[in-house]
Amino acid sequence: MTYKGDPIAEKLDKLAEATGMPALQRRMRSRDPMRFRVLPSALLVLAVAGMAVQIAWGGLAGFWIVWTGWMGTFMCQPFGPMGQPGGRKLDEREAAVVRTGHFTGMMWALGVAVLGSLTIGFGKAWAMLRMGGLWAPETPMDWITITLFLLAVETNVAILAASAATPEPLEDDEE
Amino acid sequence: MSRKALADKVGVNPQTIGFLERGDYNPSLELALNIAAVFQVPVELLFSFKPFPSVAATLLGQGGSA
Repeated sequence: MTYKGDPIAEKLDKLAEATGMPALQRRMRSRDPMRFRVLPSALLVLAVAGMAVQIAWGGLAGFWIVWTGWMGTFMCQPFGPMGQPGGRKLDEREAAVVRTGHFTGMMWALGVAVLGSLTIGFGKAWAMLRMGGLWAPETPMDWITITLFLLAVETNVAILAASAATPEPLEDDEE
Repeated sequence: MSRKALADKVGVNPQTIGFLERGDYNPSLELALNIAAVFQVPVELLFSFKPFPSVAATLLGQGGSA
């Protein structure tokens, strides 16, 4: 698939082909999205574990765990049904799958945020009444960790929901 | 006609055509009409609430009168 015409452009095109990147791009553009189950679930567990570490010890440990979970999510998203293979336009079925995924993910993230806010609010109230207290975010790292955690919840749940909404791959994948 | 050729004509992913064939996806009215237009047949000839009889059943005369 190299360019023909101008000799300099031909040489540059051959050089680019030799790197393997154009072939990889063509393969990415033509492939079908993967249906993820285990990876987003594992990344979700990692994000929850990171949030737990942040609540228990504070500092940076929890933040890095949540960040790792979020980065993993960010990297696997393009290969699943929530991504746009090769940057091409999504058709009506793929767009519907993406909408379903985001709706489910947003609802879960909203639920977690509402429950978390209520818990923190009651914890603060108990602390004011000197009846003990619960953890509440105080440092900027706590807030950043919460933000990344909610993003990880939204995206991973969206990938799981979109994967569930995508039918089994076709056995006879004829072109 | 291949899945890819039909998909290119109606502007969808070939995988979507495969899911349509398998009954895993219900198309929008626009997509159904576009596919019918490609084959130049009425839309009800391609999509129906009732499952179509299999080719084998039709050939053996079980799908209707022999």
